[in-house]
Amino acid sequence: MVTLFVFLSFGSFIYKGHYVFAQSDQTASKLQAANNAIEQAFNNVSDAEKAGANVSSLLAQLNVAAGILAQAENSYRTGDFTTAAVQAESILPIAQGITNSAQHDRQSALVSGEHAFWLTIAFSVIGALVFVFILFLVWGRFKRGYLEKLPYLKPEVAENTV
Amino acid sequence: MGLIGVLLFALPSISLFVKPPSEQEFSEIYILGPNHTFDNIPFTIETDVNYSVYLGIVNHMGSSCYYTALVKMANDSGSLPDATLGTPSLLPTLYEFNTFLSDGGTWEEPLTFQLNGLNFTDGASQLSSLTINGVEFPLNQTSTWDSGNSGYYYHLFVELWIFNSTMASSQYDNRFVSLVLNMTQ
Repeated sequence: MVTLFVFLSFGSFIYKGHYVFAQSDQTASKLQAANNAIEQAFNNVSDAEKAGANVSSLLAQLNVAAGILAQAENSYRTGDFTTAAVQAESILPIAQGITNSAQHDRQSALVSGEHAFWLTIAFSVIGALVFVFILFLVWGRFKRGYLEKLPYLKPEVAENTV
Repeated sequence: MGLIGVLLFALPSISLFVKPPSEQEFSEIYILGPNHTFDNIPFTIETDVNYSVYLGIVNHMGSSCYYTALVKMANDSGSLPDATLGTPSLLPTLYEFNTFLSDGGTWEEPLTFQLNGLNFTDGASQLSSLTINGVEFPLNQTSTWDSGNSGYYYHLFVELWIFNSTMASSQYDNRFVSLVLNMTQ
């Protein structure tokens, strides 16, 4: 009877120890998943920013997620694995939403950027051609006017030139 | 005149291909006192008293960045970050802040701390816990008496880490700020 009692007590101690380690490992992997999700979301926001999109609202959403992640990490460090796990899981849908929005904004920015690029090139080429054409017309008009006046111009007779 | 006019119309197209030289890229981390100035920064510390400073980060990297600030505690012989080698401290992180900042953006948050359970024995002080922003962290830090500066000294410091997209991980930015804490008996 005593042996059975000792065996059961020892067994429950080991089981509890394993449960704590298992919970810690599970929470650590959830934290890692949350970290990866936020990093991926940031990479997409960064790509959208490079494409010329306005990412201020996306950064604000990322900061909400970052605040929760920091709380989760701090909870984990103090041994509050349950809170840390819940907080880490709550980050995933936020990060996914940010990723989707960033990818959409990047595409829109790329299309707008391409339109703006060709518009600028067209403006420069057409503007330069029109300018040169107008300059040519103005020059032609002045030339015609000068040629029309030319026959009526009398040479001046200068006295005492020798 | 024709050439000048053509160049004027060509300027917008030229600006698409010619980028101006970029400015120096760097990040800032700083600590300010409770009044958002360099005054009244805690130095002589008593246990079970709450102290408050402001921790700030500024982004001058030319693009949005993901920053992590790691709060650590060292005793008088503890390893601080090595500024020469650019390596972080090996001490464990107690508390962390995360923030995303656009280029030119500034982040500032209060950092409150309280030292608990300080014992003095045999010319050494032992610190058993530290509370940061309301979260208590168990510690086991011992500091010996510094006869030159007459006190038991600890360092509460914050390392700045920045996310590197290429490496897919945060890297120590070789910047930290430190509060030197003189524990009174």
